[in-house]
Amino acid sequence: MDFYAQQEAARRKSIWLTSVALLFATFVVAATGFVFTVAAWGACIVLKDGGRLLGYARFMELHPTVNPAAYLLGFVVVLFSGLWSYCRIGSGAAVMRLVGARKARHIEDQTLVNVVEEMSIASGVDMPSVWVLEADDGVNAFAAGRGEGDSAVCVSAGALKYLVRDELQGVVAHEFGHILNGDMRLNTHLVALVEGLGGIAGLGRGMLWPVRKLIAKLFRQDEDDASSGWGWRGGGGGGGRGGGVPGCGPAILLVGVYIITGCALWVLGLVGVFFARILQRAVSREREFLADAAAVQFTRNPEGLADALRFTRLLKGFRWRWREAFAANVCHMFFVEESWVESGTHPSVARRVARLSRFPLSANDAKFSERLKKLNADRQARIAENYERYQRRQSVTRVLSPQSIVLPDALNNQLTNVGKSGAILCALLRGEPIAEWKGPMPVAAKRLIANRAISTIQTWGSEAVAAAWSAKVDSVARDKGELSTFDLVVWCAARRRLRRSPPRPFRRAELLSDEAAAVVATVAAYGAHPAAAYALAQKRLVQMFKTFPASARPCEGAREFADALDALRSLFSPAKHELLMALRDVIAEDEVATDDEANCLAAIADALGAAWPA
Amino acid sequence: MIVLTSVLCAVLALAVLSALWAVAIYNGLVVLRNRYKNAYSQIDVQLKRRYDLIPNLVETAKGYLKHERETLEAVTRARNQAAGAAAALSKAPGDAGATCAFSAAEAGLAGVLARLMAVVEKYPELKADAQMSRVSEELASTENRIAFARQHYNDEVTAYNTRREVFPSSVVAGVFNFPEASLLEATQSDAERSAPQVKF
Repeated sequence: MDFYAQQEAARRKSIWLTSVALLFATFVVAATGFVFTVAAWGACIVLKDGGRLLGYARFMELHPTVNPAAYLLGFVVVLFSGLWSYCRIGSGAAVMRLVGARKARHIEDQTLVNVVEEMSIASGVDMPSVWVLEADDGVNAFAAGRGEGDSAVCVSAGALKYLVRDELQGVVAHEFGHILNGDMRLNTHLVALVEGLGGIAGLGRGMLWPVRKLIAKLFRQDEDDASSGWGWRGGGGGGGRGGGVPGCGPAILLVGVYIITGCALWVLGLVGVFFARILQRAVSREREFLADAAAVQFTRNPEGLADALRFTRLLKGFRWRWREAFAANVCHMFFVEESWVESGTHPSVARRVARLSRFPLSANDAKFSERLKKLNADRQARIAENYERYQRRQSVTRVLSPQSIVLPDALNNQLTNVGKSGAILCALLRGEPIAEWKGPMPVAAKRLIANRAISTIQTWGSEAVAAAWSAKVDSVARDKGELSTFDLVVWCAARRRLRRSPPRPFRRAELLSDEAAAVVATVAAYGAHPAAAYALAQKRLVQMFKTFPASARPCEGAREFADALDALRSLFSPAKHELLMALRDVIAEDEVATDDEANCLAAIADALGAAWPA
Repeated sequence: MIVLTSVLCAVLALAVLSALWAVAIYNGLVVLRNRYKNAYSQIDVQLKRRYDLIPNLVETAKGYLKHERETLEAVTRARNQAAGAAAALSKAPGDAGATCAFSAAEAGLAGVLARLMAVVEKYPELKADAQMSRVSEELASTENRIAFARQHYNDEVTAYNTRREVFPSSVVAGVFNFPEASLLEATQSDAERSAPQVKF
C-alpha cells in the first residue's frame, strides 16, 4: 500500500468535509438569525401596530439594526454553547481517570511501554502517558488529550493479553497516528460545533418549557373534570391560534409569536445537530483511515495492524465495558468502534483491512482460533468466579439479616419505655432471660432487642438519663470481666450512642490503616481461614487506604477493639463504606457467618454509623 | 499620477508579500532541517541504550550458558568494539574511515547478538527465566528502536529533501544554501543487497 498517498487523500477529504461542516454551521446560524428577525417582526406588528399587517421590507426599513443584531444573537448562542462543551474537555490524564484506567507499570506492562516508546521514536511524537484499562477484556485502545504535549494512550487489558507484539504495535501506532494528526483537537472542535448547534435546539426547548408545563397542567385539570380528551386540544390550540386571527388580544398574539419562535428554533437546532453529527462522523471516519495509513508509515508493517483488525472482527459479539455516558464522548478515539454500522465514527473493519492488506478479511482466522479459545475460556472462568462470589455473598447475607425475627407484643410495648428498655439492656448484658420471650433466644434477636432498647433511650430519654444508663451498662460490663462479642456490641453501642461526644474531625484514611487492619484481623480470626480472609480484605482496602499492612495482630480484649472502632469513626464515608464491604468479604470467605462474626460486624457498623445486621 | 501611485503601491505590496512568503518558506526549511538533525541524534541515543543493555544480557545468560563461553565472549568483545567505534565517530563526525569502522562494528555486533539469541532458543530453562525474558524483550525493543530511529531519520530527511526540491521553495533553498541531506542505508555491502541464494 502507498501510505503516503493514502494519508494525503484522507487528509484532503477530511479537510473538505470539515469545510462543509463549517459552511453548514454558518448556514444554520444564519437561519437562526432569520428566525430571530421574523420574531422581532411579529412582535413589532403586535405591539406597535395593533395587529395591522406590516410588510417585511417596510419593517426592515424602519428598524435597520434588527437584522445584524439577530444574526449576532444567533452567533452568540452557538458560540457559547460550543465553548461550554469545549471547556468540559479534560486533559489526557483526567479522561483516563474518568474511564477508570490505571497507569501502565514498567515491570508488568513492559511490552506495552516498550511498544509505545518505539512508536514515539518512529513518529517523532513526545512520549504520551500510557494507561491500561483492566475492566475491558476485549481488544481496544484509545488516545485522549488536548494535543501533542498532553496526550495519553490507553490500551485494554484484552489487547495486551490476546494480541501478539506486532499487532499491539499496529494498534498503538494507530493511536499515534491520531495524536500526530491532531485528531483529538479536531474532534473536540467538531463536537463543540455540534453542541453549539444543539444550543439552538436547547434555547427553543427552553422557550417552550412554560408552554409545555401549562399544557400538561390543563390536561391534568381536564382529567379531574372527567371531560377527557377535549381540554388539551383547546389548550394546545391556544398556541396555534396566535398567527393573526383578528379580534385576539395582543397578549395572546404575542404568546403565539413566542411559541412559534420557540418551535422554529427547536426544529432548526435539531435538524442542525442531525446533519452536523453526520458530517462529524464522516470526518471521523476519514481520520481513521488517516491514522491507519500513518500507523503503517510508523511500523512499515501493514499486516500487523490488519491482523489486529481481523482479530477484533472475531470478537463481534463481545461488549466493552466502557461507562456509557463517557463512551459517547470518546468513542471516536477508539481503535475499533462498538457499533458496527457504516454511519458510525469508524469505517467498517472490512474496509479498513481492504485498504491495508492484499489478503482477505478472513485470511488469518486459523491463526486466531487458539487465542479465541483462550479468551473464551478466560471469560468463562471469570463468569464462574463472579457467580461463585455472588453465591457466597448471598449465603452470608441470609445469615446476617434473618427476616424472620418477630418480637412479642408485650416486649415491643416494653421497648417503648425508657426505664424498661434500660433494664432489658442490662439484663441482656448479664445474660439473664427476658420474661416476655419464650424459649431460647437467638443472638440475632438479642441484637435486635438491644438495638431497639438503645434507640429508645437515645430518642426519648433526657441527656442525663441516657448518660446514667450508659454508666450502668459500663458497670455491668466491668462486673462481668470477660466480655463476649455480643456484650461488646451492647457495650460499644451504649457508650457511643448514649453519651454526648464531641464531633469527630476527619482524618485521612492512610493514617488509620493500622486500626482498620487490627479490626479486620479480629474479624478474620473468627473465620476458618484467618490469613486468606485478611488477604482478601487487604487487597480490597489497599486502594482506599493507600498503605495497608500485609498482616496484623487481632485486637486483644474488648477495650482495644473499642478503641480501634473509636478511631475509625474519623474515616470519610467512602472509606467507611469500603471497610464494611471488605469486612463482608472477610466474613463471606469461609461461606458461613458465625454469631461472633455477625456481632463484630454489628459493633463495627454501629461505630461507623451504619445500620446493624439484625 | 494616480495610476502611477497605485501601480507603485501594488508593486510594493507584492514585494512585501513575496518577502514574507520567502521568510515563511525559509523558516519552514529550517524547521525541517533541525528536525532531521534531531532525528539523527536519536539514533545515537538508542545505540547507547543497546551498549548499556548487553552486559546485563550476558550477565543473565552466563549462569545457564556454561558451555557457550565463546559466544558470550564474542558478544562482549563485539559490544566493546562497537562502543569504541561509536566514540571514535562522535569525535570525528563525517570522517569516512570512522564511519566505515563504525558500521562494520555495528554489523558485527548485530551478527553475534543474533547468534546468541539462536543459542538461547536451545536452552528452554533459560528462555523460561523471568529475568532473561525481560532482558530479551528489552533487547528486541532496542533493536526495534534503532530501526525506528533510522526510519524516522529517513522520513524526516525525505520530507526535508522534498521540500527543498519542489518549486517555489527550491528557489529559497538554492539562494540560502540548504544542502541535500543523505539517507541512512541499512547496509554498505553489495553482497547483502543482492537477494540471498537459498539452496536445499
